[in-house]
Amino acid sequence: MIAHGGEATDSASAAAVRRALDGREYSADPAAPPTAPTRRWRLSERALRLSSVALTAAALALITGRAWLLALAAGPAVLLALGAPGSTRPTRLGAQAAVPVRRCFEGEPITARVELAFDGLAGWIDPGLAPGPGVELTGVEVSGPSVTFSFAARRWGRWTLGTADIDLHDLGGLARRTVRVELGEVDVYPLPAESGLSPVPARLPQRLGEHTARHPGEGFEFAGVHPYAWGERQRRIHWPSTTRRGAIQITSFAAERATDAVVLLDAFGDLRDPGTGRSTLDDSVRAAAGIARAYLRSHDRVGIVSVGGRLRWLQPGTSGGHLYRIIETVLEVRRDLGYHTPVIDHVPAPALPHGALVYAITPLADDRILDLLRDLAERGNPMVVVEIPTGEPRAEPEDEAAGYALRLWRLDRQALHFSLVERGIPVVSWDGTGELDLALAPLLRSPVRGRQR
Amino acid sequence: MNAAGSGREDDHEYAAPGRRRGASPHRAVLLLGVALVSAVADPTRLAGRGPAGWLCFAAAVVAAIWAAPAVARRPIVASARLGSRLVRHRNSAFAVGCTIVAGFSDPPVWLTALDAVLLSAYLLAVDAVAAGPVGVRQLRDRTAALAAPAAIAVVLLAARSPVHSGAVWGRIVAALALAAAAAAAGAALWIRQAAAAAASQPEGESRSGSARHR
Repeated sequence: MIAHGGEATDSASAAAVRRALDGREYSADPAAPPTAPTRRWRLSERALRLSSVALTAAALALITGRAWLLALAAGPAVLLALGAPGSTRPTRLGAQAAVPVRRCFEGEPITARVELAFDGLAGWIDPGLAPGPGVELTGVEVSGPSVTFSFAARRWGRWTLGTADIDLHDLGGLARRTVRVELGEVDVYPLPAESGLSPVPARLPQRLGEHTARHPGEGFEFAGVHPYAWGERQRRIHWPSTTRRGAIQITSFAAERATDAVVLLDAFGDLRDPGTGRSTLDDSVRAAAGIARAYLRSHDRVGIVSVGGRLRWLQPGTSGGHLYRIIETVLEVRRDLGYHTPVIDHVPAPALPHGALVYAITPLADDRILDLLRDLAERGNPMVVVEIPTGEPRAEPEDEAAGYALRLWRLDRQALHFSLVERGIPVVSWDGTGELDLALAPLLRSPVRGRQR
Repeated sequence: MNAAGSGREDDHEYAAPGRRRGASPHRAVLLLGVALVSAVADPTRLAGRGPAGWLCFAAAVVAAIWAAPAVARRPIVASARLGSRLVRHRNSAFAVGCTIVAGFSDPPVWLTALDAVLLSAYLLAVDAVAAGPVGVRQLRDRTAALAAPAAIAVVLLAARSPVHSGAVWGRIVAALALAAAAAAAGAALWIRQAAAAAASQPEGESRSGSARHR
């Protein structure tokens, strides 16, 4: 019995969602909301149905001379008379939307509540919604004069929740009036890719941190032994070496430094994998968030530079809250898609510190990003390219020309990778599924080197 | 202006009713539609119309199966094309079509009564599915269930009453009976609503100052 009740509730909820969406399914690019409704009362479908039947029957009775046809008009006429609202119809109608939480991560629920305010009596509140592109309507509940819309955030970005058109029917259901409410915008943060590795450049800046440097210092990592010099601490004497060599030997430790990492986000275009339908821009931002989170956990400084139609940048910083600042910097990057090529020299020096490790996250599908990578490599910054694959073009097996074209395409990609590696830029690939650590692991074999000046 | 919710019992009156397990309102509406189209096709004369008559009857039943089920969608104009609008308002078109088909036949008295009752029942059932809580309340309310057949009976009696000067007087009398029945129903409802509103309003408050919601 309980299971049956739950099924009935789910079915009713799904029916309410279908009705509010007017049968539309979730789409990444939804249609625009309908034109703004009039603020006056107008006949409902019920009134139109009853009146058209009654008028047709009465007209036929007068035309054909068959008086009994008026009996067909009697039923609808009585139903119309019974539905007459009298003086109870609301004269004033207002609505106010409230969204308690306007920031969330992908997959998390969002709730919007619309409070209706009206005088008089109402018979039915019928909500409709044209949702925004990155959110999916999962529930509609009408409770008293308030309507609650439940959403699930599907894609990162700064989205509008949608436009709600709420129909208020009078007591008899013969007339309705629509009030339109804009639910406002929400910030949907990307889910960072799972990553815990933080490869470091060969040269680390002079700042205390958690990465082991190659030169001696005051860290915890054992670096070797050396003969005692006047003034060194006696508690660092390495007794096994001292005994073997017959002279006092002192343990030396490696220095521990923090690094600067800058994520270069390629927003020149958003490509869809023809096989999986994944968006390269979606995966790029998730990878950027994953890399930034991994370095911030190591107390490194992380910045971001987004290149697309518009140049966005954020100076490297640290602390947990900096991850949200990084994400908010690129949250509207979808709107930047354009044909303008930004000049990387316009990025202020603090945004791209000298020696900072640069992660270029790109599908390598635009020549402009290659020019930018060349410029950055000439600056001397150590750099890693994280390629977000766009997927191979489809080729029919029986189409010989398509097979040759596919082979040329693969050779072109191999040549592109070779040209980058030859410049000293390692290329790793992450397809948006699985852990990012698996893609970054080869970078741990040796520190990432930039161009030697 | 009201901004606060009313009591819990009243809260869900604005909401569209959920579908109860075991109930199949769409099937009931479909059966009523098929019965209605069968009645207005005048089955008493169907045998004498030959194969063409049977073919038309079968086409009408198929059209009823398509058009009769209630369309419970929000009143949004997705397209201005006539075909799209016809699909959207097929319940109304079906009821009007049945009325027109009935208007060009001359059935026996019992069949005229059956046509009128089936048409009213069909409209009530469609309202119960498509018109939200308003339609459900109307279906459960005895007033509509009694007033509609009573009005039909009064109008049929007036239409069939033997009056002088031929059919003209018959139509006038039937039209007056129809107007009287509708006015009586409306007056009864008006009185009932006014009494309910007065009873639900607290003493010492004006109507415009504290509106209530049902």
